Amino acid sequence: MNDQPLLRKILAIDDEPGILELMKNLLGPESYTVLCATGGAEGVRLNTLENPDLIILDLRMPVMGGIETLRRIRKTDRDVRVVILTGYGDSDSIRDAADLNVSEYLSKPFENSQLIHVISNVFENPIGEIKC
Amino acid sequence: MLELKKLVYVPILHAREGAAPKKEPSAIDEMWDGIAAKIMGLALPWDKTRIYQDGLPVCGEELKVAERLAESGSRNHQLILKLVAQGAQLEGTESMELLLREHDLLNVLLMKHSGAERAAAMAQYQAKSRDLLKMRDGFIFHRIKSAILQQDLVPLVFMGVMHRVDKLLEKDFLISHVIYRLPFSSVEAIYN
Repeated sequence: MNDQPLLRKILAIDDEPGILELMKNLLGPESYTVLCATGGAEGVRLNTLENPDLIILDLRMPVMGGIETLRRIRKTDRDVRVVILTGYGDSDSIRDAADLNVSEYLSKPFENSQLIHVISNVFENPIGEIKC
Repeated sequence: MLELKKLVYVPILHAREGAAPKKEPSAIDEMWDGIAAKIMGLALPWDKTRIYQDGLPVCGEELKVAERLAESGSRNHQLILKLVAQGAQLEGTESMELLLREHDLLNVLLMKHSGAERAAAMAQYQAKSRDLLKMRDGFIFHRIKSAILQQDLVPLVFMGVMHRVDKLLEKDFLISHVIYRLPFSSVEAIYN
């Protein structure tokens, strides 16, 4: 019998390969399994296939932006925790994020330790609607 | 071409500050630490900066209201006092009448404690407060525009994430958003 603890699965969706590489290098040693998608469509597909515990989502991506990606994910998955990372935050995307039950909205640039802290913080909170 | 005036807009999450002493900073504390660092980094001309604050009525006692809230633990108002000490000026922002109506709506919601009752009351609050929020936003927009446009001043606006004042202001101002982190999962509910 395998008594290894199950690692929490994180899906990173970002069009920049360098960011995805950073996620793997940063979160792998923190005992997370990191899956990567280089675009929204791939992210939606991987979420369905792999059922991750948390998604790290970039807002600004070509073809399918972060909010549209999340809308599609939410059609079938209301529970997955989502952390949005963005270098171009504005009030519209914040309101969309709130409506789509995002756990955290984090502005780039960020310290590596800050991202680890935020993810750990998000896992401490129970899954569920933040708005009644 | 006419150059738009600069406006700094800080989307915020309202959270009730806990009365009990905390061992470590909460996500909300960290949000305010980050916002404070970012605002200080902007090096605004403080004597020309005018602060507009969500929920602060035009009443002639704006600074006293902020002091009272800062004393009771509000990180938002503690930051405002710090900026006022730098030379910024705090402005009355909201219509007292509209705020009282919002307060009444919120009171009805907060009186409901059971899960089902609370959920129904929240749905009612959100429906009714949506229209009220539009009216509040209209008031705030005119307040800022009429005071700022004719003068060489920089508005610094702290506004809850569900407000849409920035959408009204963007025709007249070049808006720069200050966002550090918004820990949605650490707040029980989002109020207007």
